[in-house]
Amino acid sequence: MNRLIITTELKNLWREKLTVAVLSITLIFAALSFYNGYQFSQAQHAVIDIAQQEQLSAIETAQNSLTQRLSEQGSIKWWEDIYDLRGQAFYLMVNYATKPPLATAPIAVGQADVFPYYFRMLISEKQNVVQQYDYVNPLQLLLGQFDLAFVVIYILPLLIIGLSYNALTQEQQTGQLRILLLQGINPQHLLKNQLLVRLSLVLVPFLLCSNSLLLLSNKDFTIQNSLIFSLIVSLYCLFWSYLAGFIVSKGKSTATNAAILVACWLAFVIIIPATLNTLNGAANPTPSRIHYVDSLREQADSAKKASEKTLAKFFQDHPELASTNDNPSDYATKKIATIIAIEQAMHAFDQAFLQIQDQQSQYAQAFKLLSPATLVYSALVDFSGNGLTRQQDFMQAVAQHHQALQQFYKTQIVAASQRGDFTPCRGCNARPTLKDLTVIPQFKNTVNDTSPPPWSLILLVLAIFALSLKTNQRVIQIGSAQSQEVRV
Amino acid sequence: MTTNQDVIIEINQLSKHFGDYQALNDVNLTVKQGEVLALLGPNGAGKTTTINCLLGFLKPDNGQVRIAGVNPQQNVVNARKNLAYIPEQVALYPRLSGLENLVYFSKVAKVEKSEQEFKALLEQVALPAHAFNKPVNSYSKGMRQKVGIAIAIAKQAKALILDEPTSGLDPSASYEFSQLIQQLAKQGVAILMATHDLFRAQEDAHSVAILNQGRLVDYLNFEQIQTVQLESVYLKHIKAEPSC
Repeated sequence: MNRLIITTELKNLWREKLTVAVLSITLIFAALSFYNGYQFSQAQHAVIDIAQQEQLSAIETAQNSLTQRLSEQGSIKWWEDIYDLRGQAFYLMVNYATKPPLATAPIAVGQADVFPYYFRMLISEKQNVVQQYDYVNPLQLLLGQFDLAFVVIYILPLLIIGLSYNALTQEQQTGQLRILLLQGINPQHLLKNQLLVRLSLVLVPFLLCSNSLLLLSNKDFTIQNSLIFSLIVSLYCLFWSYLAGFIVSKGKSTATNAAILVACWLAFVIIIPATLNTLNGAANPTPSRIHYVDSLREQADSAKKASEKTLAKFFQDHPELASTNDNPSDYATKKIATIIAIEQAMHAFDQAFLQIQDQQSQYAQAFKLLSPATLVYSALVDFSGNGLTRQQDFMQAVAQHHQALQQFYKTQIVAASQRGDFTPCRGCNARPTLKDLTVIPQFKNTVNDTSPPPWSLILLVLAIFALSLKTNQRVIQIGSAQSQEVRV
Repeated sequence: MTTNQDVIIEINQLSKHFGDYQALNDVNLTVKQGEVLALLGPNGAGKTTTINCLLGFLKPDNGQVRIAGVNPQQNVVNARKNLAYIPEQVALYPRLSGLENLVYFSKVAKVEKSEQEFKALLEQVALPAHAFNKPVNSYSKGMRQKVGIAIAIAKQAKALILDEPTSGLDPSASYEFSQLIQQLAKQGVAILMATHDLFRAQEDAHSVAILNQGRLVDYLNFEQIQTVQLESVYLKHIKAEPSC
């Protein structure tokens, strides 16, 4: 019976122009959105490749030119010399921290277009390296990139609604259902198979097209990735299909069904996320960035003005670096001391930003459960590696790398200074105090993993199950004898 | 000579009200194997309510109906197995052909036939062969009615219920339809036909029941139908009990 209903439904729908239009739109949107996401991730790859190449090339050039540099007797300014610790630390170092896009990145750009994905590291205050970005609200769904996630969240539900709003009710209104019931059809089977066919007409071409493109475009995109992506999309589409079933089982007119379903789409996809965004922003307002920058300048000025005091404080904090050298207060040591002093003074401001970010994230994690759109969008963005969790891990790794570099230069510069390598200044001539650039700490990328589908998707499964139960209860009533109103 | 076993459609003391409105009031009727009963009455007389009770879509307040001995209130699936139904507008899938509609509706009723056999059914109801594979949305109402009859024949139901079957048909199509009904009756199908078409009722029916305001106001057997002018009998009853 199921096969008979499915083949007839397919035959019937296939002869409708709307079905061909829906199929075409699905395929075109899948291809276009993949291309957009793919281009975005390729652009990130290209930038990261150039940065890494530049870093390797700098080390290699330094190795190859060392003999020539050591034989040079002419005066080179230290800020122009790659073999001078000070030049490397403050101006010339080519050292990148990068977050390469994952193979799943074309699925959802998410907020990767506003998140920094690479840093050129320098021994300046960390506030100038890693704390210069505001996160937009993580629930922000509006105005997203046109990628596969956009098509999944916004377009596929509309296409499913467009095909499913008249399931069963078309037969109910035109009288076919009455004859079918008399022929012995089970209305639950009819609706279930109709919804299945209509869902498949949207979902199957989309998954085939998008998975093929993802698999073909990136050898690192695995079958497992493909299955997880398909699972998340299928769950979301099933939710919309079952919601359509739930609405049509009420037995209202096709026009009413369409209106209710579009209202549901507006609520779940636009209104709820927008409202949650507003609430999240209102509950956790981000501190003023202007105030932050002003404070940074103020602290930098104060630290520079109190140069000797700052240096004294530095050696008080780092007694292991202090020595009996009479003149440790060279430019480089003072600069390191000033940087650390500014960082310490800005600590409270940084904490305020971090705290707000944490609160916004916590709210976002809780709010996303209120709409299937935010739930699935969040799952897709995390799966694509462009989500907030991976970004926060990356930023933490960058901060640690900055600290490692700072520690490396702090120790090396102070030691060199105390050995007297930088004195007298002699017109600020360079000294080859860093002959092997490979000893400079390199950024280790530890944030490459793709997030598995979150457990919160179980909520979607429960919602589908509940809708299915309620729909079955309603549909079984359609074929049975009523006391007052004949429903077919 | 007929026996109780010959009775296929049985309506006993059937009553139904909707709020304050009494739609059916103690109606009793039977249709035997091979009999065509025309159910007459003005709009709102209770014809459709009677049909809905027979089809198992409406619960009677009192009384009961039986189709081939099965009460739809007790076993709707078995009652419907013995029942075929042709509404005023035969609802087929407009983008499917007549043949595809016939195959689908028949297979839903678990009728297994070859394509040739289904085509033979369409030939039996005089649907032009060139129309077999054309979409139903290009069919006239008469052609759709023929597909509806083919579906009913394929099901081999013991009872056929028709709701205004000739409404909107031209005289020629109406005549053809009438011939098909006669054929089915000869094959032993019990037919209950709700209609406003007094001419067709007089021509085709073996018995006539007149409903007004939910009550059975007259019943004519075959001999009586032949001897009276049905229109005057009908109008006498309707005017005597104005529907206000």
